[in-house]
Amino acid sequence: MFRTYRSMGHYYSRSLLGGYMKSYTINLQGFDTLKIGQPLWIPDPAELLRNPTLLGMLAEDVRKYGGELNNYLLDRAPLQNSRKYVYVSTKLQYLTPEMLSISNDDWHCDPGVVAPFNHNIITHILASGSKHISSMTQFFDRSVDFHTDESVLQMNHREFREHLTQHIDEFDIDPSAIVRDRFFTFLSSHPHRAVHPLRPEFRFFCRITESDDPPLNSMYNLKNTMPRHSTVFTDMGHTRNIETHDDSILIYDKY
Amino acid sequence: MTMSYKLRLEGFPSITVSDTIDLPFRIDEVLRTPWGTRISADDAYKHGGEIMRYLLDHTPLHNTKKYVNIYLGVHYVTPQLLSVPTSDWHCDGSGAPFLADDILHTMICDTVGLGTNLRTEFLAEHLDLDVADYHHIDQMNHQEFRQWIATYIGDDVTPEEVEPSKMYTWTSRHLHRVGFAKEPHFRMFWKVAESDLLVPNPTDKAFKSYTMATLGNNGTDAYSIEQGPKGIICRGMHI
Repeated sequence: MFRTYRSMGHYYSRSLLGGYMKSYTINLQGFDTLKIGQPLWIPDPAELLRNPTLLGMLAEDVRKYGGELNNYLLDRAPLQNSRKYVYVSTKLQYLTPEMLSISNDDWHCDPGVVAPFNHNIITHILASGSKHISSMTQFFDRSVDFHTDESVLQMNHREFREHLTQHIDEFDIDPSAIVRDRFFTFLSSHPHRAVHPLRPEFRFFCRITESDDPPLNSMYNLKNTMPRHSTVFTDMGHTRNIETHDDSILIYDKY
Repeated sequence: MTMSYKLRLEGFPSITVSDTIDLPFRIDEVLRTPWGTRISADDAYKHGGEIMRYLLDHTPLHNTKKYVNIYLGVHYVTPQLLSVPTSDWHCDGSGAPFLADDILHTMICDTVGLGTNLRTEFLAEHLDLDVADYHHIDQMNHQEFRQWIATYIGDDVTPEEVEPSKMYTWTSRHLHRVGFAKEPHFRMFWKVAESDLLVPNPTDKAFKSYTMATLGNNGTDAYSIEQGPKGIICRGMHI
């Protein structure tokens, strides 16, 4: 999409639209810069079926409504408390090679805003689930410099993900997967990707985000942040996965 | 002079234990395989699916009785929900408890995604009792026998629990029990009863797309897991 030229000691890119852009280098951080927590006790999937699903719930609401396990995780996450807000998401999914945790396995950076690699959020993730769980998030095994141009500053999450995917072969990196039952702390400059399951399995995932961004008031309420179901991606789209009712739990293993 | 009845309740040393059996199944498979109670061996081979046939092939049948009854199911057990009707000590078998001559083969299946921490307990050693005739122990039904054991023996015995993925072969004289789960988990249970009296269910009644559990000790029946058309429903709980 862009051609790079050297001129007067600076790198410029020429876009197909004809404009010139300054070169821009992003330091994409690798596994060696992650902070890794101590192993935690996480219950079996059968017990996790009863844990409330949270979707970006503020920590103060988790304290009131989040339940025992979600509060235990919040207590043990290595929070830096240097941001205004703490959001908690937890879910249990029943995954198969056809039922995926997210829609793609491309490398990307969080969050989903303009210049996702340049945001000031701190993210703590923990994965657990079935005994031989295979769908563990991967990071670059080492840090690399991504030489690109300033157009990346205007890219949204999807555009940057595609841009990164186009150039991924230039980096000479190996993927390194997280291990279960520990918090891994990373920044928006840590590219990572989901790994699709090799076989049917339960996957429990906790994400705690420290951010200066306030919740979207029109969206934030207990109903939205405490859905009674988790979801997966299938070739039919985004579908319900594990649904909690007053007297039963429904695991959708067909769609 | 009071007459007495000499009752021997067998213990662990008289149980035949197999080597660990490889169980190449996963949670999604065992939740979708055919389940049932008192399935005949013929029906198991014809309609029981791969897992049931595999388990039956690994069961050391004596083939000395008229009937073979197969029980297979997965329960979602919780601290208030039993996978069996009672957590009391009891004997299995057709007819009067401990007098039946059924041969039983059982296994708690240890496979990916299943909990195995809820294990059947037998007596560590056999127990010889002189029971006064007026108890009429030989005329008791299963419920009366359980109550009698609870009253006269209580917990004054040493239990020994089974190991997962091993087949245990025992008789109607083996006292045993299963307790309450300490935490929710999936429990897959396999049992084969060889009997001269216990007749297998007809095919349409033997296979079931659900398992039943018991709410509290000797409590009411409740659905445990249903195999629904689009998903697996774990029931019998208040969330």
